[in-house]
Amino acid sequence: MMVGREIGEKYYREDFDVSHKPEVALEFQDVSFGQIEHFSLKLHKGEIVGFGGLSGCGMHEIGRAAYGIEKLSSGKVIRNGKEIKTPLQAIESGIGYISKNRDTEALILNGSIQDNIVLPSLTALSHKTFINPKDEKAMANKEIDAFRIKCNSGKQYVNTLSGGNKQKVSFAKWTAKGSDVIIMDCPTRGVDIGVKQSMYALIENMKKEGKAILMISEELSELIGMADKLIIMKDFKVTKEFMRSPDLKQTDIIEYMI
Amino acid sequence: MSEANGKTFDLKEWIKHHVTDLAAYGGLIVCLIIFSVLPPMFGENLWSAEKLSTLMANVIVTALMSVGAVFVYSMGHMDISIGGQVRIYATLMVLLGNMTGSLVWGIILSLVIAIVIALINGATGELLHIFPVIPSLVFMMVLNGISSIIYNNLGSRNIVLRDIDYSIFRNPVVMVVVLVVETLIISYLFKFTKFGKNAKAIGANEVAAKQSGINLLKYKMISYVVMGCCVTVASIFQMGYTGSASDSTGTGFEMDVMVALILGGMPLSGGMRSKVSCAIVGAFTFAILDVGLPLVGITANTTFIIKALLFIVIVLITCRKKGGVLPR
Repeated sequence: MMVGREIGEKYYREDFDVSHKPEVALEFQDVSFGQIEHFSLKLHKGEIVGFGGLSGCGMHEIGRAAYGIEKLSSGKVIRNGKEIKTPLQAIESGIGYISKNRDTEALILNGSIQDNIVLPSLTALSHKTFINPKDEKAMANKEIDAFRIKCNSGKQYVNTLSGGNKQKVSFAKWTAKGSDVIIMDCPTRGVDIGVKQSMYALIENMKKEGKAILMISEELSELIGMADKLIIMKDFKVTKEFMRSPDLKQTDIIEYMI
Repeated sequence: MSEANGKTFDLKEWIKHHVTDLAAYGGLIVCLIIFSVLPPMFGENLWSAEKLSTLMANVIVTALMSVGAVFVYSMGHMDISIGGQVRIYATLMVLLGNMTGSLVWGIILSLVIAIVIALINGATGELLHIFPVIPSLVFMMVLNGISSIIYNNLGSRNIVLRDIDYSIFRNPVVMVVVLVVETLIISYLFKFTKFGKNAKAIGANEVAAKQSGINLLKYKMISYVVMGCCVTVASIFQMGYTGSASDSTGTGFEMDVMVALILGGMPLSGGMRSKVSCAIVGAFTFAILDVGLPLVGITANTTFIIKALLFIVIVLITCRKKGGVLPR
Protein backbone atom coordinates (compact mmCIF):
# COMPACT_ATOMS: atom_id res chain seq x y z
CA MET A 1 0.00 0.00 0.00
CA MET A 2 1.18 3.54 -0.77
CA VAL A 3 2.26 4.51 2.73
CA GLY A 4 3.96 1.19 3.36
CA ARG A 5 2.05 0.22 6.45
CA GLU A 6 -1.44 -0.85 7.49
CA ILE A 7 -3.78 2.08 8.04
CA GLY A 8 -6.57 0.30 9.81
CA GLU A 9 -10.19 1.19 9.44
CA LYS A 10 -10.70 4.31 11.56
CA TYR A 11 -9.83 7.66 10.02
CA TYR A 12 -11.89 10.50 11.49
CA ARG A 13 -13.75 10.28 14.82
CA GLU A 14 -16.50 7.72 14.85
CA ASP A 15 -18.44 9.10 17.84
CA PHE A 16 -20.94 11.92 17.78
CA ASP A 17 -20.51 12.96 21.38
CA VAL A 18 -20.38 16.73 21.39
CA SER A 19 -20.35 17.03 25.16
CA HIS A 20 -17.54 18.90 26.80
CA LYS A 21 -16.59 20.11 30.24
CA PRO A 22 -18.41 23.20 31.46
CA GLU A 23 -15.24 25.20 32.14
CA VAL A 24 -14.37 27.81 29.55
CA ALA A 25 -10.76 27.31 28.36
CA LEU A 26 -10.54 30.34 26.07
CA GLU A 27 -12.95 33.16 25.36
CA PHE A 28 -13.25 35.78 22.66
CA GLN A 29 -15.18 38.72 24.15
CA ASP A 30 -16.60 40.96 21.42
CA VAL A 31 -13.28 41.01 19.60
CA SER A 32 -12.65 43.39 16.69
CA PHE A 33 -9.47 43.74 14.62
CA GLY A 34 -8.71 44.24 10.96
CA GLN A 35 -11.86 43.42 9.05
CA ILE A 36 -13.27 41.24 11.81
CA GLU A 37 -15.87 42.88 14.01
CA HIS A 38 -17.58 41.91 17.25
CA PHE A 39 -16.56 38.26 17.27
CA SER A 40 -17.42 36.28 20.38
CA LEU A 41 -16.82 32.63 21.21
CA LYS A 42 -16.41 30.42 24.26
CA LEU A 43 -14.13 27.42 23.79
CA HIS A 44 -14.62 24.82 26.50
CA LYS A 45 -12.36 22.15 27.93
CA GLY A 46 -12.70 18.93 26.01
CA GLU A 47 -14.25 20.69 23.01
CA ILE A 48 -13.13 20.78 19.39
CA VAL A 49 -14.34 23.91 17.60
CA GLY A 50 -13.65 23.93 13.88
CA PHE A 51 -13.41 26.95 11.60
CA GLY A 52 -14.04 26.59 7.88
CA GLY A 53 -14.35 28.82 4.89
CA LEU A 54 -12.63 29.89 1.74
CA SER A 55 -9.11 31.25 1.84
CA GLY A 56 -9.26 34.86 3.02
CA CYS A 57 -12.51 34.44 4.96
CA GLY A 58 -10.90 35.53 8.23
CA MET A 59 -10.57 32.18 9.99
CA HIS A 60 -6.76 32.18 10.02
CA GLU A 61 -6.86 35.61 11.65
CA ILE A 62 -9.12 34.27 14.42
CA GLY A 63 -6.45 31.70 15.25
CA ARG A 64 -3.74 34.33 15.29
CA ALA A 65 -5.84 36.57 17.56
CA ALA A 66 -6.39 33.70 19.99
CA TYR A 67 -2.61 33.39 20.31
CA GLY A 68 -1.99 37.08 20.86
CA ILE A 69 -0.34 37.67 17.48
CA GLU A 70 -2.99 40.11 16.22
CA LYS A 71 -3.43 43.52 17.83
CA LEU A 72 -7.09 43.94 18.79
CA SER A 73 -8.85 47.27 18.23
CA SER A 74 -11.53 46.34 20.76
CA GLY A 75 -12.63 43.40 22.86
CA LYS A 76 -10.48 40.83 24.63
CA VAL A 77 -9.18 37.31 24.40
CA ILE A 78 -9.38 35.83 27.89
CA ARG A 79 -7.90 32.70 29.40
CA ASN A 80 -8.15 31.88 33.10
CA GLY A 81 -9.33 35.41 33.78
CA LYS A 82 -6.28 36.98 32.13
CA GLU A 83 -6.15 38.90 28.89
CA ILE A 84 -3.99 37.40 26.16
CA LYS A 85 -2.13 40.08 24.20
CA THR A 86 1.16 38.40 23.19
CA PRO A 87 2.31 34.90 22.24
CA LEU A 88 4.39 34.80 25.42
CA GLN A 89 1.28 35.44 27.55
CA ALA A 90 -0.57 32.82 25.52
CA ILE A 91 2.11 30.21 26.07
CA GLU A 92 2.43 30.96 29.76
CA SER A 93 -1.32 30.50 30.13
CA GLY A 94 -1.09 27.10 28.43
CA ILE A 95 -2.02 27.88 24.82
CA GLY A 96 -0.12 26.31 21.95
CA TYR A 97 -0.24 27.42 18.31
CA ILE A 98 0.51 25.46 15.18
CA SER A 99 0.79 27.90 12.30
CA LYS A 100 -0.33 26.93 8.81
CA ASN A 101 3.02 28.23 7.55
CA ARG A 102 4.90 25.25 8.83
CA ASP A 103 8.32 25.93 7.33
CA THR A 104 8.46 29.67 7.90
CA GLU A 105 6.60 30.18 11.20
CA ALA A 106 5.98 26.98 13.10
CA LEU A 107 9.44 25.45 12.91
CA ILE A 108 13.13 26.33 12.89
CA LEU A 109 14.19 24.34 9.83
CA ASN A 110 17.91 24.81 10.48
CA GLY A 111 17.54 23.41 13.96
CA SER A 112 17.37 19.92 15.38
CA ILE A 113 14.16 18.11 16.27
CA GLN A 114 15.17 18.38 19.92
CA ASP A 115 15.83 22.12 19.73
CA ASN A 116 12.42 22.70 18.17
CA ILE A 117 10.51 20.52 20.61
CA VAL A 118 12.02 22.01 23.77
CA LEU A 119 11.97 25.65 22.67
CA PRO A 120 8.67 26.70 24.29
CA SER A 121 9.61 24.75 27.43
CA LEU A 122 13.02 26.27 28.20
CA THR A 123 11.77 28.20 31.23
CA ALA A 124 10.26 25.05 32.70
CA LEU A 125 13.49 23.13 32.05
CA SER A 126 15.69 25.76 33.74
CA HIS A 127 16.98 25.07 37.26
CA LYS A 128 18.36 28.46 38.40
CA THR A 129 19.37 29.27 34.78
CA PHE A 130 20.93 25.83 34.13
CA ILE A 131 19.23 23.68 31.50
CA ASN A 132 20.42 20.09 31.73
CA PRO A 133 21.03 18.61 28.25
CA LYS A 134 19.80 15.27 29.60
CA ASP A 135 16.43 16.81 30.47
CA GLU A 136 16.17 18.31 26.97
CA LYS A 137 17.02 14.98 25.38
CA ALA A 138 14.53 13.12 27.57
CA MET A 139 11.74 15.59 26.76
CA ALA A 140 12.43 15.38 23.03
CA ASN A 141 12.80 11.59 22.95
CA LYS A 142 9.51 11.16 24.81
CA GLU A 143 7.71 13.10 22.09
CA ILE A 144 9.66 11.44 19.26
CA ASP A 145 8.54 8.05 20.59
CA ALA A 146 4.95 9.15 21.25
CA PHE A 147 4.54 10.64 17.78
CA ARG A 148 6.71 7.98 16.08
CA ILE A 149 8.72 10.72 14.38
CA LYS A 150 10.86 8.99 11.77
CA CYS A 151 14.43 10.15 12.43
CA ASN A 152 17.92 8.98 13.38
CA SER A 153 17.83 10.90 16.64
CA GLY A 154 16.67 14.12 18.20
CA LYS A 155 19.81 15.75 16.81
CA GLN A 156 18.62 15.36 13.24
CA TYR A 157 17.81 18.65 11.58
CA VAL A 158 14.14 19.34 10.87
CA ASN A 159 14.79 20.36 7.26
CA THR A 160 15.71 16.73 6.49
CA LEU A 161 12.28 15.45 7.61
CA SER A 162 9.23 14.73 5.49
CA GLY A 163 6.23 17.07 5.70
CA GLY A 164 4.37 14.68 7.96
CA ASN A 165 7.24 14.30 10.39
CA LYS A 166 7.76 18.05 10.43
CA GLN A 167 4.10 18.49 11.36
CA LYS A 168 4.54 15.97 14.16
CA VAL A 169 7.38 18.10 15.50
CA SER A 170 5.07 21.17 15.41
CA PHE A 171 2.53 19.26 17.49
CA ALA A 172 5.18 17.81 19.79
CA LYS A 173 6.30 21.30 20.87
CA TRP A 174 2.94 21.81 22.58
CA THR A 175 2.38 18.32 23.95
CA ALA A 176 5.84 18.55 25.51
CA LYS A 177 4.84 21.89 27.02
CA GLY A 178 1.62 20.39 28.36
CA SER A 179 -0.52 23.04 26.68
CA ASP A 180 -4.23 22.72 27.48
CA VAL A 181 -5.48 24.78 24.55
CA ILE A 182 -4.16 24.03 21.09
CA ILE A 183 -4.88 26.26 18.13
CA MET A 184 -4.12 24.34 14.97
CA ASP A 185 -4.23 26.04 11.59
CA CYS A 186 -4.43 23.58 8.68
CA PRO A 187 -3.01 20.78 10.85
CA THR A 188 -2.85 18.16 8.12
CA ARG A 189 -1.83 20.24 5.13
CA GLY A 190 0.90 18.60 3.05
CA VAL A 191 0.83 15.44 5.12
CA ASP A 192 0.35 11.87 3.88
CA ILE A 193 -2.77 9.90 4.64
CA GLY A 194 -1.11 7.66 7.21
CA VAL A 195 0.16 10.63 9.21
CA LYS A 196 -3.23 12.35 8.90
CA GLN A 197 -4.86 9.33 10.48
CA SER A 198 -2.48 9.38 13.42
CA MET A 199 -3.03 13.15 13.81
CA TYR A 200 -6.79 12.64 13.96
CA ALA A 201 -6.36 9.94 16.57
CA LEU A 202 -4.14 12.30 18.55
CA ILE A 203 -6.69 15.15 18.31
CA GLU A 204 -9.46 12.82 19.46
CA ASN A 205 -7.30 11.76 22.38
CA MET A 206 -6.63 15.36 23.31
CA LYS A 207 -10.39 15.98 23.45
CA LYS A 208 -10.82 12.98 25.75
CA GLU A 209 -8.04 14.33 27.98
CA GLY A 210 -9.99 17.54 28.38
CA LYS A 211 -7.89 19.76 26.16
CA ALA A 212 -9.58 22.52 24.20
CA ILE A 213 -8.91 22.58 20.46
CA LEU A 214 -9.46 25.29 17.90
CA MET A 215 -9.10 23.64 14.51
CA ILE A 216 -8.90 25.88 11.46
CA SER A 217 -9.01 24.03 8.18
CA GLU A 218 -9.62 24.48 4.48
CA GLU A 219 -10.72 20.84 4.24
CA LEU A 220 -14.44 20.53 4.94
CA SER A 221 -14.34 16.75 5.27
CA GLU A 222 -11.77 17.07 8.04
CA LEU A 223 -13.92 19.57 9.93
CA ILE A 224 -17.05 17.48 9.50
CA GLY A 225 -15.11 14.42 10.62
CA MET A 226 -13.52 15.94 13.72
CA ALA A 227 -15.21 19.08 15.07
CA ASP A 228 -17.88 19.19 17.79
CA LYS A 229 -18.97 22.58 16.54
CA LEU A 230 -18.22 23.91 13.09
CA ILE A 231 -18.18 27.66 12.46
CA ILE A 232 -18.26 28.82 8.86
CA MET A 233 -16.90 32.23 7.89
CA LYS A 234 -17.22 34.33 4.78
CA ASP A 235 -15.79 37.79 4.19
CA PHE A 236 -14.60 38.03 7.81
CA LYS A 237 -18.05 37.31 9.24
CA VAL A 238 -19.51 34.20 10.80
CA THR A 239 -22.26 32.99 8.46
CA LYS A 240 -23.38 29.77 10.13
CA GLU A 241 -22.68 27.37 12.97
CA PHE A 242 -23.18 23.63 12.66
CA MET A 243 -23.12 21.01 15.36
CA ARG A 244 -21.48 17.64 14.78
CA SER A 245 -24.00 15.23 13.29
CA PRO A 246 -23.96 12.03 11.21
CA ASP A 247 -26.21 13.79 8.70
CA LEU A 248 -23.96 16.81 8.16
CA LYS A 249 -22.70 16.96 4.60
CA GLN A 250 -20.39 19.23 2.64
CA THR A 251 -23.31 20.30 0.45
CA ASP A 252 -25.09 21.67 3.55
CA ILE A 253 -22.13 23.85 4.34
CA ILE A 254 -20.84 25.13 1.02
CA GLU A 255 -23.60 27.67 0.41
CA TYR A 256 -22.51 29.48 3.59
CA MET A 257 -18.93 29.65 2.42
CA ILE A 258 -19.14 31.04 -1.10
CA MET B 1 7.76 0.85 17.22
CA SER B 2 10.22 3.48 18.35
CA GLU B 3 12.18 4.96 15.49
CA ALA B 4 14.44 7.24 17.49
CA ASN B 5 16.94 4.58 18.46
CA GLY B 6 19.10 4.45 15.28
CA LYS B 7 22.64 4.86 16.50
CA THR B 8 24.75 3.90 13.48
CA PHE B 9 27.48 6.48 12.90
CA ASP B 10 27.37 7.96 9.41
CA LEU B 11 30.71 9.58 8.57
CA LYS B 12 29.37 11.45 5.55
CA GLU B 13 26.51 12.94 7.60
CA TRP B 14 28.91 13.88 10.38
CA ILE B 15 31.27 15.63 7.96
CA LYS B 16 28.33 17.42 6.32
CA HIS B 17 27.15 18.67 9.69
CA HIS B 18 30.60 19.73 10.83
CA VAL B 19 32.07 21.16 7.63
CA THR B 20 32.34 24.65 9.15
CA ASP B 21 34.13 23.35 12.25
CA LEU B 22 36.49 21.28 10.10
CA ALA B 23 37.25 24.30 7.91
CA ALA B 24 37.88 26.49 10.95
CA TYR B 25 40.10 24.08 12.89
CA GLY B 26 41.77 23.03 9.66
CA GLY B 27 42.53 26.65 8.86
CA LEU B 28 44.05 27.18 12.30
CA ILE B 29 46.24 24.09 12.02
CA VAL B 30 47.38 25.04 8.51
CA CYS B 31 48.29 28.54 9.70
CA LEU B 32 50.19 27.11 12.68
CA ILE B 33 52.15 24.81 10.41
CA ILE B 34 52.85 27.40 7.73
CA PHE B 35 53.98 30.05 10.18
CA SER B 36 56.11 27.64 12.15
CA VAL B 37 57.87 26.38 9.06
CA LEU B 38 58.21 29.44 6.80
CA PRO B 39 59.47 32.29 9.03
CA PRO B 40 62.80 30.56 9.86
CA MET B 41 63.51 30.65 6.10
CA PHE B 42 63.36 34.45 6.39
CA GLY B 43 65.42 34.53 9.56
CA GLU B 44 62.36 35.02 11.77
CA ASN B 45 60.66 32.92 14.42
CA LEU B 46 56.97 33.00 15.36
CA TRP B 47 57.76 31.18 18.60
CA SER B 48 60.32 33.68 19.90
CA ALA B 49 59.48 35.28 23.24
CA GLU B 50 58.97 38.67 21.62
CA LYS B 51 56.65 37.43 18.88
CA LEU B 52 54.72 35.19 21.29
CA SER B 53 54.12 38.17 23.53
CA THR B 54 52.80 40.19 20.56
CA LEU B 55 50.69 37.20 19.52
CA MET B 56 49.19 36.90 23.00
CA ALA B 57 48.36 40.62 23.18
CA ASN B 58 46.78 40.43 19.71
CA VAL B 59 44.76 37.31 20.55
CA ILE B 60 43.57 38.47 23.92
CA VAL B 61 41.82 41.63 22.79
CA THR B 62 40.28 40.05 19.69
CA ALA B 63 39.23 36.92 21.58
CA LEU B 64 37.72 38.81 24.52
CA MET B 65 35.59 40.90 22.13
CA SER B 66 34.70 38.00 19.84
CA VAL B 67 33.59 35.66 22.62
CA GLY B 68 30.99 38.22 23.69
CA ALA B 69 30.11 39.05 20.09
CA VAL B 70 28.99 35.41 19.58
CA PHE B 71 25.77 36.33 21.38
CA VAL B 72 25.00 39.18 18.97
CA TYR B 73 26.19 37.39 15.83
CA SER B 74 24.19 34.27 16.73
CA MET B 75 21.06 36.41 16.31
CA GLY B 76 22.20 37.32 12.82
CA HIS B 77 23.07 40.84 13.97
CA MET B 78 26.40 42.64 14.05
CA ASP B 79 27.71 45.64 15.96
CA ILE B 80 29.91 48.10 14.09
CA SER B 81 30.35 50.42 17.05
CA ILE B 82 32.81 48.05 18.78
CA GLY B 83 35.90 49.96 17.64
CA GLY B 84 34.47 53.29 18.75
CA GLN B 85 33.48 51.80 22.09
CA VAL B 86 36.99 50.46 22.73
CA ARG B 87 38.45 53.85 21.89
CA ILE B 88 36.17 55.71 24.30
CA TYR B 89 36.53 53.17 27.12
CA ALA B 90 40.34 53.08 26.84
CA THR B 91 40.39 56.90 26.78
CA LEU B 92 38.13 57.15 29.84
CA MET B 93 40.22 54.63 31.74
CA VAL B 94 43.41 56.63 31.10
CA LEU B 95 41.81 60.02 31.80
CA LEU B 96 40.05 58.93 35.00
CA GLY B 97 43.06 56.86 36.01
CA ASN B 98 45.27 59.93 35.84
CA MET B 99 42.63 62.03 37.66
CA THR B 100 41.93 59.61 40.50
CA GLY B 101 45.03 57.44 40.67
CA SER B 102 42.97 54.31 40.13
CA LEU B 103 41.68 52.48 37.06
CA VAL B 104 38.51 51.39 38.89
CA TRP B 105 36.46 54.51 38.12
CA GLY B 106 37.25 54.43 34.44
CA ILE B 107 36.34 50.75 34.27
CA ILE B 108 33.05 51.27 36.10
CA LEU B 109 32.05 54.25 33.93
CA SER B 110 32.98 52.31 30.78
CA LEU B 111 30.84 49.37 31.90
CA VAL B 112 27.85 51.64 32.56
CA ILE B 113 28.20 53.29 29.15
CA ALA B 114 28.63 49.89 27.49
CA ILE B 115 25.41 48.62 29.06
CA VAL B 116 23.47 51.74 28.03
CA ILE B 117 24.75 51.47 24.44
CA ALA B 118 23.90 47.76 24.45
CA LEU B 119 20.36 48.30 25.67
CA ILE B 120 19.77 50.95 23.00
CA ASN B 121 21.36 48.82 20.27
CA GLY B 122 19.27 45.81 21.28
CA ALA B 123 16.00 47.66 21.73
CA THR B 124 15.83 50.12 18.85
CA GLY B 125 16.06 47.55 16.09
CA GLU B 126 13.14 45.65 17.60
CA LEU B 127 10.99 48.62 18.65
CA LEU B 128 11.51 50.76 15.54
CA HIS B 129 11.58 47.83 13.09
CA ILE B 130 14.85 48.89 11.49
CA PHE B 131 17.91 46.86 10.56
CA PRO B 132 19.74 46.30 13.86
CA VAL B 133 23.05 47.44 12.37
CA ILE B 134 21.66 50.98 11.92
CA PRO B 135 21.70 51.96 15.64
CA SER B 136 25.25 50.63 15.94
CA LEU B 137 26.22 52.71 12.88
CA VAL B 138 24.81 55.76 14.64
CA PHE B 139 26.81 54.93 17.77
CA MET B 140 29.94 54.43 15.69
CA MET B 141 29.59 57.96 14.32
CA VAL B 142 28.67 59.47 17.70
CA LEU B 143 31.57 57.78 19.49
CA ASN B 144 34.01 58.85 16.76
CA GLY B 145 32.74 62.40 17.15
CA ILE B 146 33.08 62.35 20.95
CA SER B 147 36.59 60.93 20.64
CA SER B 148 37.59 63.75 18.23
CA ILE B 149 36.26 66.35 20.65
CA ILE B 150 38.14 64.80 23.58
CA TYR B 151 41.48 64.59 21.79
CA ASN B 152 41.11 68.05 20.25
CA ASN B 153 40.48 69.48 23.72
CA LEU B 154 43.46 67.59 25.11
CA GLY B 155 45.61 69.00 22.35
CA SER B 156 47.20 65.61 21.82
CA ARG B 157 46.48 62.45 19.80
CA ASN B 158 47.77 60.16 22.50
CA ILE B 159 47.37 60.01 26.29
CA VAL B 160 49.41 57.95 28.71
CA LEU B 161 48.79 56.54 32.18
CA ARG B 162 50.87 58.24 34.83
CA ASP B 163 51.75 56.88 38.26
CA ILE B 164 49.66 53.71 37.87
CA ASP B 165 51.14 50.25 37.69
CA TYR B 166 49.43 48.53 34.77
CA SER B 167 51.96 45.71 34.39
CA ILE B 168 49.35 43.17 35.47
CA PHE B 169 47.60 43.64 32.13
CA ARG B 170 50.79 42.72 30.26
CA ASN B 171 51.20 39.50 32.21
CA PRO B 172 50.51 36.54 29.87
CA VAL B 173 49.25 34.41 32.75
CA VAL B 174 46.70 37.07 33.69
CA MET B 175 45.67 37.36 30.03
CA VAL B 176 45.13 33.61 29.73
CA VAL B 177 43.27 33.36 33.03
CA VAL B 178 40.92 36.23 32.17
CA LEU B 179 40.26 34.81 28.71
CA VAL B 180 39.59 31.33 30.10
CA VAL B 181 37.24 32.66 32.80
CA GLU B 182 35.33 34.84 30.32
CA THR B 183 35.09 31.98 27.83
CA LEU B 184 33.79 29.60 30.49
CA ILE B 185 31.16 32.07 31.68
CA ILE B 186 30.00 32.97 28.17
CA SER B 187 30.03 29.32 27.08
CA TYR B 188 27.85 28.40 30.04
CA LEU B 189 25.38 31.18 29.28
CA PHE B 190 25.36 30.33 25.59
CA LYS B 191 25.08 26.58 25.79
CA PHE B 192 23.26 25.79 29.01
CA THR B 193 20.84 28.65 29.61
CA LYS B 194 17.81 30.23 27.99
CA PHE B 195 19.92 33.30 27.08
CA GLY B 196 22.05 31.53 24.54
CA LYS B 197 19.39 29.17 23.29
CA ASN B 198 16.95 31.99 22.67
CA ALA B 199 19.61 34.10 20.91
CA LYS B 200 20.32 31.22 18.54
CA ALA B 201 16.61 30.66 17.92
CA ILE B 202 16.17 34.37 17.11
CA GLY B 203 18.97 34.10 14.57
CA ALA B 204 17.60 30.91 13.08
CA ASN B 205 13.99 32.07 12.62
CA GLU B 206 12.76 35.14 14.44
CA VAL B 207 9.09 34.50 13.67
CA ALA B 208 9.23 30.91 14.91
CA ALA B 209 11.13 32.11 17.97
CA LYS B 210 8.41 34.66 18.74
CA GLN B 211 5.68 32.07 18.20
CA SER B 212 7.49 29.79 20.63
CA GLY B 213 7.16 32.47 23.29
CA ILE B 214 10.54 34.16 23.12
CA ASN B 215 10.41 37.82 24.15
CA LEU B 216 12.45 39.23 21.28
CA LEU B 217 13.03 42.63 22.88
CA LYS B 218 14.29 41.18 26.17
CA TYR B 219 16.67 38.63 24.69
CA LYS B 220 18.06 40.98 22.05
CA MET B 221 18.91 43.49 24.77
CA ILE B 222 20.46 40.79 26.96
CA SER B 223 22.64 39.58 24.07
CA TYR B 224 23.98 43.07 23.40
CA VAL B 225 24.63 43.61 27.12
CA VAL B 226 26.67 40.39 27.28
CA MET B 227 28.72 41.60 24.33
CA GLY B 228 29.08 45.09 25.81
CA CYS B 229 30.55 43.69 29.05
CA CYS B 230 33.06 41.63 27.06
CA VAL B 231 34.06 44.67 24.96
CA THR B 232 34.71 46.58 28.20
CA VAL B 233 37.00 43.80 29.46
CA ALA B 234 38.80 43.79 26.09
CA SER B 235 39.24 47.57 26.35
CA ILE B 236 41.02 47.13 29.70
CA PHE B 237 43.61 44.88 28.09
CA GLN B 238 43.87 47.06 24.96
CA MET B 239 44.63 50.08 27.15
CA GLY B 240 46.70 48.06 29.61
CA TYR B 241 49.16 46.62 27.08
CA THR B 242 50.71 50.04 26.43
CA GLY B 243 49.19 52.02 29.29
CA SER B 244 47.84 54.49 26.81
CA ALA B 245 44.97 55.42 24.52
CA SER B 246 44.85 57.45 21.33
CA ASP B 247 42.43 58.82 18.78
CA SER B 248 43.04 55.70 16.68
CA THR B 249 42.69 53.08 19.40
CA GLY B 250 40.22 50.42 18.35
CA THR B 251 40.12 51.41 14.69
CA GLY B 252 38.71 48.55 12.65
CA PHE B 253 38.04 46.32 15.66
CA GLU B 254 34.51 45.58 14.48
CA MET B 255 35.97 44.18 11.26
CA ASP B 256 38.55 42.18 13.23
CA VAL B 257 35.72 40.62 15.26
CA MET B 258 33.78 39.78 12.11
CA VAL B 259 36.80 38.26 10.38
CA ALA B 260 37.79 36.33 13.51
CA LEU B 261 34.31 34.87 13.92
CA ILE B 262 34.10 33.93 10.24
CA LEU B 263 37.57 32.36 10.34
CA GLY B 264 36.35 30.42 13.35
CA GLY B 265 33.40 29.01 11.42
CA MET B 266 30.62 31.22 12.76
CA PRO B 267 27.63 31.36 10.36
CA LEU B 268 27.15 34.97 9.18
CA SER B 269 23.39 34.66 9.63
CA GLY B 270 23.75 33.23 13.11
CA GLY B 271 21.34 30.54 14.17
CA MET B 272 21.61 27.14 15.76
CA ARG B 273 25.11 26.31 14.51
CA SER B 274 26.66 29.29 16.32
CA LYS B 275 29.31 28.36 18.89
CA VAL B 276 31.58 30.18 21.33
CA SER B 277 34.50 28.05 20.11
CA CYS B 278 34.25 29.91 16.78
CA ALA B 279 35.48 33.03 18.59
CA ILE B 280 38.51 31.32 20.14
CA VAL B 281 39.58 29.40 17.05
CA GLY B 282 39.04 32.43 14.85
CA ALA B 283 40.85 34.86 17.15
CA PHE B 284 43.90 32.61 17.21
CA THR B 285 43.88 32.14 13.42
CA PHE B 286 43.48 35.88 12.94
CA ALA B 287 46.31 36.69 15.35
CA ILE B 288 48.68 34.15 13.77
CA LEU B 289 48.01 35.68 10.36
CA ASP B 290 48.45 39.20 11.71
CA VAL B 291 51.77 38.43 13.40
CA GLY B 292 52.99 35.73 11.00
CA LEU B 293 52.51 37.32 7.58
CA PRO B 294 55.04 40.15 8.17
CA LEU B 295 57.54 37.49 9.26
CA VAL B 296 57.50 36.03 5.75
CA GLY B 297 58.04 39.38 4.09
CA ILE B 298 54.40 40.26 3.41
CA THR B 299 53.79 43.98 3.77
CA ALA B 300 50.92 45.36 5.81
CA ASN B 301 48.80 46.13 2.71
CA THR B 302 49.24 42.69 1.25
CA THR B 303 48.41 41.19 4.63
CA PHE B 304 45.08 42.95 4.44
CA ILE B 305 44.41 41.49 0.97
CA ILE B 306 45.35 38.00 2.07
CA LYS B 307 43.02 38.23 5.06
CA ALA B 308 40.24 39.44 2.74
CA LEU B 309 40.84 36.51 0.34
CA LEU B 310 40.81 34.05 3.22
CA PHE B 311 37.59 35.64 4.47
CA ILE B 312 35.95 35.11 1.07
CA VAL B 313 37.13 31.52 0.82
CA ILE B 314 35.78 30.65 4.25
CA VAL B 315 32.47 32.43 3.52
CA LEU B 316 32.12 30.47 0.27
CA ILE B 317 32.69 27.21 2.11
CA THR B 318 30.48 27.93 5.09
CA CYS B 319 27.91 30.60 4.40
CA ARG B 320 26.36 29.81 1.06
CA LYS B 321 22.60 29.65 0.90
CA LYS B 322 21.38 26.13 0.29
CA GLY B 323 20.18 25.68 -3.28
CA GLY B 324 16.68 24.79 -4.32
CA VAL B 325 13.52 26.68 -5.13
CA LEU B 326 10.75 24.91 -3.27
CA PRO B 327 10.84 24.16 0.44
CA ARG B 328 10.47 20.48 1.37
